[in-house]
Amino acid sequence: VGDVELRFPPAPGQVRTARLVAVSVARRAGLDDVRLDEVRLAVGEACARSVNRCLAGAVTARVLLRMEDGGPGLVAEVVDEAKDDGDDDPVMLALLAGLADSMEVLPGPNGPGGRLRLEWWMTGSSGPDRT
Amino acid sequence: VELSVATRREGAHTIISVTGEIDVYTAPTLRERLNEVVANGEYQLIVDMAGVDFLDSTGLGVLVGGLKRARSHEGSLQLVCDQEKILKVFRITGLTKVFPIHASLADALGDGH
Repeated sequence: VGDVELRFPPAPGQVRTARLVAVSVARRAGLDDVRLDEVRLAVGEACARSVNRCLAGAVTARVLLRMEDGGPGLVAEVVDEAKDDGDDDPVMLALLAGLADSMEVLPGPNGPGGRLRLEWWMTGSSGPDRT
Repeated sequence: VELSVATRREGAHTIISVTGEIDVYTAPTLRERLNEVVANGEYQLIVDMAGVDFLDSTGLGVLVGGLKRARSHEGSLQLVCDQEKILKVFRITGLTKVFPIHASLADALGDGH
């Protein structure tokens, strides 16, 4: 058990691979089926966002998806090497905010917005259901 | 194949049945099909999403685009979906207020529009 990293070319067809990796890590971390779907969609959105940023900026460097399940929850970070953040689609941001327990857009290696961090916090098995 | 799209006429309606994953990679296929249908003069659209097991914001954007095109011709775009994980995507983004969403194709066809 440990961090998992996936680097993929910034192409739309690669996002599905990233989703599969994210779900695999989330399942191993013990998330239930509802939250697996949240991880699948949110990580897919974050990766698609980076792919679109790279395509818009003609950046060919690979996008990094890093999943950490060693802490109290699950963390997914998507990092790209695009230079500027442009305007994020508000529908996508609403989805990300609604799906993850925490969502932050952070500076990346080459400019603002190049890192997106998502967190899911573990609840006890006897804890209340999330709605 | 990650996404398949089939269209058929039923009375005044055009039913677009979608199967697979609608995401940043496959959404252009659905966009093209919706554009073709509207260009063909068909404006009463029903997108049957019963076979869809993934929908992202790019897919939502395509559906909103289809709705706008249909409405620009006094038409409509209704959705058929009864899967909680897909409905949740519409709820989080507030699009349940924008699309008529039916649990079954029969309900959509019986909507009277």
